[in-house]
Amino acid sequence: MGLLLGQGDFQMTPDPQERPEADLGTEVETEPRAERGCKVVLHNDEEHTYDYVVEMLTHACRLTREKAFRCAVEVDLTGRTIVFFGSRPACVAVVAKIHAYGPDHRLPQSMSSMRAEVEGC
Amino acid sequence: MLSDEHRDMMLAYLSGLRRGARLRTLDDLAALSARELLLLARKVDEAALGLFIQLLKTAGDGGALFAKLMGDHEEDNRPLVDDFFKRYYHSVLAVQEGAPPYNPLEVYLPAHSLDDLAFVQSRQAFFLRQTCGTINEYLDTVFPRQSGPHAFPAGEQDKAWAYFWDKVISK
Repeated sequence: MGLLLGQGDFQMTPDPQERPEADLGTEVETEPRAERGCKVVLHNDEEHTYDYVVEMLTHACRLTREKAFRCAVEVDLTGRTIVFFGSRPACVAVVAKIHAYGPDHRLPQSMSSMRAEVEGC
Repeated sequence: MLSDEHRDMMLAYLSGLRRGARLRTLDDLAALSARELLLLARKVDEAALGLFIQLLKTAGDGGALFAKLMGDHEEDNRPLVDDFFKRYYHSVLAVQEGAPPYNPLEVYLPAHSLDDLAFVQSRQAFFLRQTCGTINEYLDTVFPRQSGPHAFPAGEQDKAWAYFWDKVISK
């Protein structure tokens, strides 16, 4: 059982203003239903610290640090975590941000970004 | 991964905190309910929370463990969940509010690393995320110049990186 976003505040629902759609001025409600069913899954590795995950998710997914931290704990314990729900283009944009974020500067052996992918659509 | 010695020490420590049936094995720990686990976590010293989580990771399925740390999504457990994550957040993250300021480039891209071009190149994204104020300060440290301090204006991180990279490869 993963930590699902969008199922109530207790389960880390991102605020509407935390979604990249808000940047684009796009109303989530106006998107076709089929376009809203995508999610971004972040995968665990041994090359990134908790600090990196929190910093990166606040930047890429606009989560609060507290919500990002829970995602960091989940990806550490389970190997994956859902960090974003939205339309396919919005999810692709989030994945691109995650992949462009770069290595964890805290670890000399870290040479790349974390891996994420769009699922569910 | 915890050594057997550390595992046994942690189980003894947790048993002492719990004041109930002794936790003899990891299976005993894994058998605790979400609420029991969160109540136990509340008693664990902040300095030992990392070890506590390490121990839990060896005790069973990560997905089930995370669900327990989320209180099995029971509303009654929510205060315990929030309390746990708040304490764990402060014990795990290196960057805390109120920490003294420092130049992250000086710490994570130190002068002695500039001979390793692959390493420097791998830090390009990190460099570009910094403000130009931070970058100028860093450049003044690693490539001081007689004509005065560096002064890349806000938003010109790309130009600053091109300048920096040129300096690095011409060292």
